[in-house]
Amino acid sequence: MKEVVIVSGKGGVGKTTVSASLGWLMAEQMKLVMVDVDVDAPNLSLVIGGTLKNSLEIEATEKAFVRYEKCKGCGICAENCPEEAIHMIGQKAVVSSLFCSGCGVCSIVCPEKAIELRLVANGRLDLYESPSGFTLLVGKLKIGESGSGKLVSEVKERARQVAKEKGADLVLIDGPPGAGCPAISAVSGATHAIMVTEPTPAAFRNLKRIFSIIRHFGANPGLIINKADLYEPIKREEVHFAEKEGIEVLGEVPMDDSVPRSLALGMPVVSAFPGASASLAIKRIFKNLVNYLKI
Amino acid sequence: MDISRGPKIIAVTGGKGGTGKTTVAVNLAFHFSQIGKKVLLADCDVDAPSVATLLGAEMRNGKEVRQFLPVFDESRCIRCGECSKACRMHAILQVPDKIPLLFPDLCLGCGACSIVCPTNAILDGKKVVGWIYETEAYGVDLLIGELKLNERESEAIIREVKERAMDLSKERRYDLIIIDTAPGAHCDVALSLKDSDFVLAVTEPTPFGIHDLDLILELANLLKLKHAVVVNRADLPGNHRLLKEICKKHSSRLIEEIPVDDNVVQSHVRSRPLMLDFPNSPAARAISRLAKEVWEELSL
Repeated sequence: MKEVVIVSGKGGVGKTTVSASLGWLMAEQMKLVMVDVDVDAPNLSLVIGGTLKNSLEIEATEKAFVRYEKCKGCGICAENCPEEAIHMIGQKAVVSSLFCSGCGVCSIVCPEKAIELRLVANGRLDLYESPSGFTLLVGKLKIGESGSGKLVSEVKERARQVAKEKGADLVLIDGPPGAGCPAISAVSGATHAIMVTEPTPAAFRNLKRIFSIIRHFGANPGLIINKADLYEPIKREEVHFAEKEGIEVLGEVPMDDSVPRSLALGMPVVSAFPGASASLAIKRIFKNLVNYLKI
Repeated sequence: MDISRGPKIIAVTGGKGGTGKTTVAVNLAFHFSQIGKKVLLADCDVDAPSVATLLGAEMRNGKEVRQFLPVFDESRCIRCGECSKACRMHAILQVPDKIPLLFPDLCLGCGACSIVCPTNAILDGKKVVGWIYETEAYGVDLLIGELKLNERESEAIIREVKERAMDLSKERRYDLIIIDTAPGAHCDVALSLKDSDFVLAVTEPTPFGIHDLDLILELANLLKLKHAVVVNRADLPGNHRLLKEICKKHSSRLIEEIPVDDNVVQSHVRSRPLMLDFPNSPAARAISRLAKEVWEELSL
């Protein structure tokens, strides 16, 4: 089974647009499980649709809880908290749950043994069945929560199970932006990592960052240049970079009003406007991708 | 503005990636500096920093940000396994009669292991997790955090950027500190927004933009921060009614709309402020109106 993750480094270059359309095209030909692990801002379900079949809480993080009947208000926990997540309010240690990483230093240093760590739900996993016959799993981090990397790993693990149960040929993962903790977890374990970029200096710079992560994990790299006609010189540099680094250039998507119009309709562009220039380009990319994946 | 009260802090965020956070942050900073304010622009999008790229500034001679990483002193370690038990991230494995085995990828750098070690056998390996760059462009002081590749502890860099910003401010007496955040609504963004006087949520009217705006405004409310919404590429097809409903739901207000404007891309590829090269372009005019609104908001 192939596991393909779509990442970008910079946000907003078209990861979800591309993922949704590629997923839609793939579902016509093979058994597919799609996954959205942009757990902070999961958007794939907004264009893929489908019916919510199942939703469960995921406990992938621990938080400190003060047992006030034992707390003497000494403040040692607050002094030692590496995240500065504990404040003394009057004679009480108050944990700001948003900033607690669950490291447990407070519970170790507390002379009264008044602090304990408890598993808390930091996210949820929603499972959608789409009308075109594939399954979509969406990881959602609770607002302001930590542990996004662990949540991403957890969601991917479930997706692999679902894929096995359904006999799917492919798991297609829409990843988070950046090159930090959640992006690292998204790339880890993937057989192929497809980078989406656009020809701007910021997108190119962050493309190089995410590529280093991909290389580290040894996934087969591919590149899609979105809004390719935005600025020709940087596009050439990006293609040159890909060729030099052994990244498969899967194709380019031109600027096309059909893309935002399809998003406004809540549909992948290839299904909303199959004849649009962006759709034709994505169909060519799809063919190249199928060849690259050897499926 | 009364300088003795310290700088005002504006955080520019947005939820969805690529909505124009950095464009707005950079051009607001440039605009305020042009009208005589002392401005520091801090890039807290440490795993994809773009402020320097947009302003053509170089990220050189960065100061290393280090974090605790356990190193085991073999001569002192009694193989008791207390460190392994204390580590809630399961980054330390105690094999019987062996020196503990560390999985550095899982280590948060909290130091719990060294606190519980009965023989002081755990030393600080001071791992480099990223860098902070201090530079200047077009009259704006820049402070840029960058996470080292393959490191996960972005919070350590953000915390250091914010501390350095406050230290610099004591010396240089800024009127304004503008913070550019990562996309999303996770802990890094929460940490970046924390303690700011005003949060600008930059979004677009698309379903993705609106969906993620809902999340970021909820976070701003959780943190009890004052906020307003900037709609970028306002003429993209979308749902303006729903966008207004989301603003209302979180008691936010739509403060400015920036139209689609090709000059923005031009300014990006030139790596110069839009407001400098295309001051009369529709987007630049919207950002100067925004600056006026923000200043009024801060003076209240």
